[in-house]
Amino acid sequence: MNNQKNLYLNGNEAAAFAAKQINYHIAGYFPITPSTQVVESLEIARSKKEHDIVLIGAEGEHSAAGICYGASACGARVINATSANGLLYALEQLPVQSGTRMPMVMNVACRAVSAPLSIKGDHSDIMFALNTGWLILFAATQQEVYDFNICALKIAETLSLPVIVAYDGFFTSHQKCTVSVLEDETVKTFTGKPSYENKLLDLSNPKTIGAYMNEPFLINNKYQLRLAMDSSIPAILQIFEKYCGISGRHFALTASYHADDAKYLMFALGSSYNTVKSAVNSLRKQNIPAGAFTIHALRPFPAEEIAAICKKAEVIIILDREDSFSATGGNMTLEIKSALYDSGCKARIYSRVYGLGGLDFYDSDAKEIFMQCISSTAKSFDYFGQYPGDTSHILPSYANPISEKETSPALDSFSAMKKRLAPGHMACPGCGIPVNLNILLSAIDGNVVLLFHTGCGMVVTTSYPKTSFKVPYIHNLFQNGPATMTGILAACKEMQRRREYPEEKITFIMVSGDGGMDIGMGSTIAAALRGDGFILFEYDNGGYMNTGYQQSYSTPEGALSSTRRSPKDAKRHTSYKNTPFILAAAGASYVATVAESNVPDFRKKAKKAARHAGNGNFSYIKALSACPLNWGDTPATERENIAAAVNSCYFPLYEIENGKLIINYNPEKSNRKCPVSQWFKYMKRTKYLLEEEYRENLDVIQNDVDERWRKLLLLAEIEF
Amino acid sequence: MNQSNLDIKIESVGGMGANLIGKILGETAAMKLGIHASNFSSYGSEKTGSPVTAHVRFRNEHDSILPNTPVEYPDILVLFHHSLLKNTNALAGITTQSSIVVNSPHHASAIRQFLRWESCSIYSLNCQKYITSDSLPINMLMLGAILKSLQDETLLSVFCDFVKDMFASKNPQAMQKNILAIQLGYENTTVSVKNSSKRTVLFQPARHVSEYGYANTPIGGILPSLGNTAENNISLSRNGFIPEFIPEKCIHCGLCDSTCPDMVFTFREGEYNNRRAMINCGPDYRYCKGCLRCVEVCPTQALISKKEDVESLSSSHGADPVITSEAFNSENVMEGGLNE
Repeated sequence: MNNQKNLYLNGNEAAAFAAKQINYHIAGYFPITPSTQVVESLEIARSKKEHDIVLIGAEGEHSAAGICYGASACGARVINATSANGLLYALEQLPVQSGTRMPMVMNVACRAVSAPLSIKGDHSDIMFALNTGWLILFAATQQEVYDFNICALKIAETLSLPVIVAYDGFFTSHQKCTVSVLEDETVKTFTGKPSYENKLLDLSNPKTIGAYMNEPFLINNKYQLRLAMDSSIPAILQIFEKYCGISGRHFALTASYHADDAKYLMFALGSSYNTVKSAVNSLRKQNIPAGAFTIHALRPFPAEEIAAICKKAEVIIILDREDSFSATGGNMTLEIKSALYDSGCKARIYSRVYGLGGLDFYDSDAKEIFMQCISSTAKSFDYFGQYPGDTSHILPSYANPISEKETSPALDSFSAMKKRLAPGHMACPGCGIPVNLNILLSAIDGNVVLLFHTGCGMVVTTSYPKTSFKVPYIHNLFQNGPATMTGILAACKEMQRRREYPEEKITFIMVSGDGGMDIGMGSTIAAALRGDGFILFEYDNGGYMNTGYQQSYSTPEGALSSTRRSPKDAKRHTSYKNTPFILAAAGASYVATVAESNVPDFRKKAKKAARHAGNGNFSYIKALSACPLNWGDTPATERENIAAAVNSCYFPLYEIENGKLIINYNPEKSNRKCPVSQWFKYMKRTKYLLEEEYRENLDVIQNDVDERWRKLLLLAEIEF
Repeated sequence: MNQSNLDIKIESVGGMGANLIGKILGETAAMKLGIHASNFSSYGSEKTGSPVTAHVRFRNEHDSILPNTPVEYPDILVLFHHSLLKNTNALAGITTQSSIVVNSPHHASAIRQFLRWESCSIYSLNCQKYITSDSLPINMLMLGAILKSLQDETLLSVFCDFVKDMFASKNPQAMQKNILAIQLGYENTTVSVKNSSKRTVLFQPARHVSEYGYANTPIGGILPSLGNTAENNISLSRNGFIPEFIPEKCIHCGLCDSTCPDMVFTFREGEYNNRRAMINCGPDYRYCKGCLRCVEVCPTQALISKKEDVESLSSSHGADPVITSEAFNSENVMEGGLNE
């Protein structure tokens, strides 16, 4: 056994530590809670030069999977990490990876799948991967996350199959404890060197990867995959055994606790296995012969091993942290029951769905389920933890629906307009999002219907059972807001045409952060191309703030983030994302930039956008929106901060109406033009650029800003 | 440490650094004291000003830490804000053998009188004093107080060394301040210890169960409510300052309204300088997070930054709400609009 040291890590950090030791070539990723920390930890390690992994933040999980696929097709060692809807968004790519037999490793910090949107841990996401042809290891502890990550690469390369290392979101991904890690050299020796043979870049033996395949061939390809899966159990056990030789930690595809003489056995997947063990301890003290078991692999599924563990049990209770709605239980129930049927098991089998959306599962809960199911009157299937509520309560309202009259005030003043949002939302002190929303909505008379992308704006306003909205509101995930809005508009119009819905005049407004404009750009461009009649309002705070500030494609060049820690990180440059120009080019009839530092201009543009939208044309407004938490500045001075961004011409105020560009505010003319450093000095994320050491970086940024401003002035002069 | 099996629960607000204290407690115990430890915080979207609970477990070396659930019966309960002493959720699980460590201007024995608990130990530290005079971080001050409650003098240096190492690599400039905070916290914590040989639970912990369940909420997670976040009192987000409104100086320009993220200001139609205008009726402090954006933009100093009074233990939480606005008070549920 080799030397090891103890570290104090959570599951995500343990996964990253293993990845760093393996020194993968490429990580393609897109941040999603609770798995984001894997890449964030790799970024910290990278800034300390502890590995050479190339970290590429895609614009969405689908693309992240694409980056991984391309790299793995070249024989590079590839890692990814995701959760929940991120996994589902990438799902299409998973069978591509396994169907062409490209090994890679993906960590999945398991989380509830939206909708309703929950960021907490359950197993509803990982079960979607069961039929993808990936091997799926499941770690119950932070230690196992580390160990399985080391083994996973070896398994993947041995079997030419991609491997998921799954673990519980938050319970395992975020709880810290002691983890024993191997020395770097030991890991390097264990994983060996990758093989480039039989890959895309093998120029002396060129190959076609991904040919089109109908019958009769496809069934044979799938049979090959089935054979690989079947042969994977001995291969994995062999690798586990070899790993035990270097770590002293022995793993099998199953684990059990007091199972040998247990009359009552409970199955749990993931971190709940420890909770059940704790319950078994206390039941054993009462002389109740209870036991527990779990599996360390969902694929390959260890059916025979499970049957062996359950051989003597009279009662078997299967816990599922997800539901296969209307089946006889969740996926684990279905799989284990079928394994036990094949073994001729005569035990009474109970199934319980528990802990959805991260609902805590205490050892007293496990005990209660044991006691329930030991009594022979228990239902064979049920949920645990749900409750009817007090039916004398109905959800209260704190406002009346806002009438059209109330939102068409006689006085054209910001404060005269009835606000569509109620106070009491949970945005950080000084947040720019509600400020921008209020200014926008203050200028738009009459009925509005709002659609929000996922993001801070959505999370802080609609935490169930509360909402800040006093007008109709709908949320959709942030690849898809514009398409959803198109559906809303079309339905409204068609129902009006059929006289099924009154001829209401409604302004439809979609609200997104800059993150939604990354992952949802395709959907946005299509809505602009179709000319759908709504306002798309972007609050651009220059980062994925809702997940703890990872770099977005709108993060200012040079600004530090949790995925760009080192000031000297010149390699991470992305071009300035000129969303207004992209959408103008896609045919938006009205495009404008606005800032809270110029309220009259902002309101004027909101009115114009509403007019364009009302005429059935696509319009787009982009606001630079302050984020005191992640910009690292003073909440009180955010308006000054935004004014500096405008005056530096980093964020100039202009509009493009029917193709004609007009600069609405020229800081040169009012003698307010300032260098970009005047803006940068406000924020911790950019302040370092003012130091002498980074002068060159600042100059490059200043030149870029000047160049954009110069071009803008030229474009404004063009007469049509 | 005198006892190794220990459950610690820290109640705080996002942005105060309670999570870091949980991590320091756990990591130092695991790496420097050889105790099995784990820590985590309540999870959610990380926003400044939202309630945060951190959980730490210490176990003897031969025990492994099995539970991953929140601490239900804390041996040490840490409260980053003394208003939490009035919050039964925060006090849940306290037993006669627990210690309460609280940031409060009051002496530990005064807190005992307020709580009227004969047993349990109380440790009190007036953090505000050091935050104001030396701008020391509240979390490190509280760490000092927590170390005091562990009743083992050797721990102070172990933890200080750990924090020194931590900052040495990250931020050497901040190291002195943090160490000073731990030491001042340790030295200035007032103590009122009443040991009990019998462990009785003073406040039973209750699982969070809402009155809204599957039988009375609409399908699909749809909310028929309008603007019911107005129910929330978010004054706990404040950081010691509020905008004071001086109506005589107000010119009713509405700039404060346009910069306020929290819809604190309330306006009604009226006259100003013989013209129809929206008249500023002042802030509703229940919704004010104390960001002071309004103070910065006010052209006439009608809004000024004011230090919020440290509340007395007997008063209700927060500044008295000035209900001037769209009548979000409970009498006007469903009424909406301005209520004269």
